[in-house]
Amino acid sequence: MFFRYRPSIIFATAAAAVLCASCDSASQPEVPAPFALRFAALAGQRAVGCGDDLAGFGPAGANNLGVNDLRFYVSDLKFKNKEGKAVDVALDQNEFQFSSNAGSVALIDLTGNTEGSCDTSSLAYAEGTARTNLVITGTTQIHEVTSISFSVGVPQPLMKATIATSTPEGAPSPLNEMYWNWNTGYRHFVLNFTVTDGAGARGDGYVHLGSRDCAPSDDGIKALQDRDTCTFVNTPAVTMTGFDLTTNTIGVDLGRIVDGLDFVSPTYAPTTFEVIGQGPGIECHSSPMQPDCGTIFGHFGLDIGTGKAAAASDAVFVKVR
Amino acid sequence: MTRAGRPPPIAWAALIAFASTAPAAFACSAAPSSSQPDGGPEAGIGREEEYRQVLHIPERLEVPSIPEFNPPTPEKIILGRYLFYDARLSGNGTQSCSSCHLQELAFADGQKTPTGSTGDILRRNSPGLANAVYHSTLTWANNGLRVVEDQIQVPIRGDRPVELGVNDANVAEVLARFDTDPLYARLLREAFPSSPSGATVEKLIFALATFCRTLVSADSPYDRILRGDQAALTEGQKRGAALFNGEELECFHCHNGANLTISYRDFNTTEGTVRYPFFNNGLYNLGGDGSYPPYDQGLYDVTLNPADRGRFRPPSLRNVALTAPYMHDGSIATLADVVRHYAAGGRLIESGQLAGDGRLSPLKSGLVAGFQLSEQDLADVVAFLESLTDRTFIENGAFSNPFAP
Repeated sequence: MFFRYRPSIIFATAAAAVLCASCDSASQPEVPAPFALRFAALAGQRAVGCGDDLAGFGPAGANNLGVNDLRFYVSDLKFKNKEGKAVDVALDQNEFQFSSNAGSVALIDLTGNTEGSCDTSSLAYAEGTARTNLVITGTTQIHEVTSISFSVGVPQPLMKATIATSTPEGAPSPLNEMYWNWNTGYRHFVLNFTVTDGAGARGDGYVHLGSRDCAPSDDGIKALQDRDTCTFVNTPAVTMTGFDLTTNTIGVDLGRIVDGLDFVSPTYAPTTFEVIGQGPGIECHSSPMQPDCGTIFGHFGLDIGTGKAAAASDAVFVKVR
Repeated sequence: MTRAGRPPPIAWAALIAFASTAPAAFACSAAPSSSQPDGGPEAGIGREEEYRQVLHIPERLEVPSIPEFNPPTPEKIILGRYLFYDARLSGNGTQSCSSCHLQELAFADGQKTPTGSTGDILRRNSPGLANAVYHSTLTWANNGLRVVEDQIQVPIRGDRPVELGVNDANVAEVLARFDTDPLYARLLREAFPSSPSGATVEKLIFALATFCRTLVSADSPYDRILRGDQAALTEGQKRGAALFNGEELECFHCHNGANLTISYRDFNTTEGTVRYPFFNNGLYNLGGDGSYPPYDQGLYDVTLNPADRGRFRPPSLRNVALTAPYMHDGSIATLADVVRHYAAGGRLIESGQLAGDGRLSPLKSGLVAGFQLSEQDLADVVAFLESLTDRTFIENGAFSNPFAP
């Protein structure tokens, strides 16, 4: 099924960019060349993957995490040069990158579904795919680029167009996953993980960012019909300056996502749903009713009351090396 | 929210008036398109009339609203019927749609709330499916689910709680079960002749949705009296109907029309007139601020609007005597207790984590104001609700398990 990478997440070994021979000539613009924008999961400064038992999270650093599934969409990718002017970027089309008149999107999938904590048996609601993708590829003037920006998620116009196009074949890859059935749209960011507290008790962690309240207008039948955006868009925005496409990687810092959480969730009676205790766990499905969401949204630079993003406030995505 | 108009003075006449469908039949303006999806209408026959024939919709009912991207065909109905009863459509192969939608119970399941394929106890009661496709929104409380094609995604892919348990990890394996079965390979080809790519979640859903659009009930005693058979209802049922449609009980404000719900849309519903009703009926009042239990706050969980806490869609009452227990969480056991709930104007829960006086909820619908009812009146209203049971529907062989011997 699809690609078979070693599921372990190490910095992408994707093709190094082709160097441009004539860049130092002031009169001759740099020739666009293929680039690979790389992503990795981090715990602090360390790249981590399915085989890692990650220690030191939560109050007193008493909790361990194991990544099960880490996938997210990237869109509105923009490059700038040192003068702050846009540098043209052309994205490839492949099974992880889709473009249409309504916009473009890439799916980063840092986890397989068989190794270590990524195995689908290690979490109650595991949903990770076998395929992985650690890079966004395209063509640009690589050495011109000194800063980058992007949004984390499916852009609203593309979501609207995809939902409006109902066909027997379904949505094109990579828009054929991360579906959020009860919200009739897509999740932008999915992080599922195991939690083990200091006493050895096991729990689950689910951090799902997605757009909320996307119902159509009064006469519409499909989500986002006759409106441009969901009420709560919830797509984080990221900017990174001093960025070198040939050496830097974009890290997703798991520690920053869960920073400040108490790592405790209520446990419910299976039949009455009454609260019968508490155990290790984190749960956020983009609702302000879930206590963990307010803190997590803050780390992503999202306002949970409006769904708007502020790139300056995002602490989750970090430049590495 | 628009209130239904006041009924004529004689309630029984009102009942008949409500159910009048006055079909503007053949008012189809859509010319056949050259790029019609599989199953587009034949030239020379109106789209609405063709759909009526394909879906076997009786003349007394309107044709349901059907999205242009999924025109009904006999082949989709056949495929959808097989899928409805096929446990291979669940991630672990243990449940099908029919596990929680039993024909003998008008496609409800008799449980307070069902148990999903992986053992999760669901939070909402399994609804009957008779005429379900006429609701303007699908499921108990989601204003964004307007077509059954979107709704079916929920039991197939939902994960809090898991129902059928299909997810990104196992979807390819689930689809392969159908691709490798010669019966389904043929049914898929016949249902989607212009799409040879094999099974997709969308194809399965399009077929299931089309089968659901055939699950039409229109032959209960209630239907028969509307067709002129004055003997179809007992005297008690007629008295119950009058009470049901009276301003004292006010049931009809939310439960009227051909399907006894104001959540209604059909093929000819005029733009701008569709209503999307959701009401808080005072089942809970946690903390005195109108809150419902934190694991299910109704429409609020979709819109995140605090005023939507505890708001749920008024369902169709067709075959309601077969779909016990009642309310979104199955927390009321009998029809008599449902009527008593509305007579009390809400529910008082004295102790425990759900304690609160729903009668005093600040979010409760103004129509749930309570009323006085004698035991005879109560029995008559229940008898009227029992007249909505359609044995033709629950015995219709076209809806039964095609795998059964």
